[in-house]
Amino acid sequence: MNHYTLWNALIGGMLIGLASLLATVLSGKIPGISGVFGRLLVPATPDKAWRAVFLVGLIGGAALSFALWQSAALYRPERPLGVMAAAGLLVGFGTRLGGGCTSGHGVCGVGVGAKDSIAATLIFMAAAMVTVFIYNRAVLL
Amino acid sequence: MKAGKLVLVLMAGGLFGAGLAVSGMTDPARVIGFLDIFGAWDPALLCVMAVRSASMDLECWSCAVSKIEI
Repeated sequence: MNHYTLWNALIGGMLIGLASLLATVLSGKIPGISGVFGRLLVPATPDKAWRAVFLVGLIGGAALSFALWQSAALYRPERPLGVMAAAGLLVGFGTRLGGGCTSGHGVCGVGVGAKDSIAATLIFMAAAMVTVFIYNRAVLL
Repeated sequence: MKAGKLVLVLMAGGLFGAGLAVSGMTDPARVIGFLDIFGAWDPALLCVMAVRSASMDLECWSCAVSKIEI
């Protein structure tokens, strides 16, 4: 699998769906990456062990895929580091305010048909599309 | 959480990371390509989102049918 095809999207999607379900069964919580990581940083969080282990697995699984498939190893950061840092801060703030990220709302919430998750996903996707539209044109000017 | 369960959590994390990498969602350019609906739109992310939500849905349904508590 050296070229990106629809199979990448299909197989990747199935892996994420399977992983989400497994994590839900094990932790008893709807797992969103931002929440899993965010609460790890809060000292009062009682269940830190599985969060840390999940994140180690997350990075390990990606690293293994990068090593095995050329198509997965593509990484094209097209923004300056400062813009990336500002974006990360906004994502962190926004996902906590909205109660979930692309994994929590977009995968797990939409997957179980939660209305607030469907609404959140539609809104953050639309907001992201508007942002890309404005950013791309602002940079070109 | 018991050690055996933590191994499964590690596997869940691994599958999640592998899924993101295989589907190309670790590549910012591809994600921006999906969001750029007025540019060269790349529908891959939509396929990923649809399949992963559907597979989560299907698994929840099969759990409900077999009365496994999740």
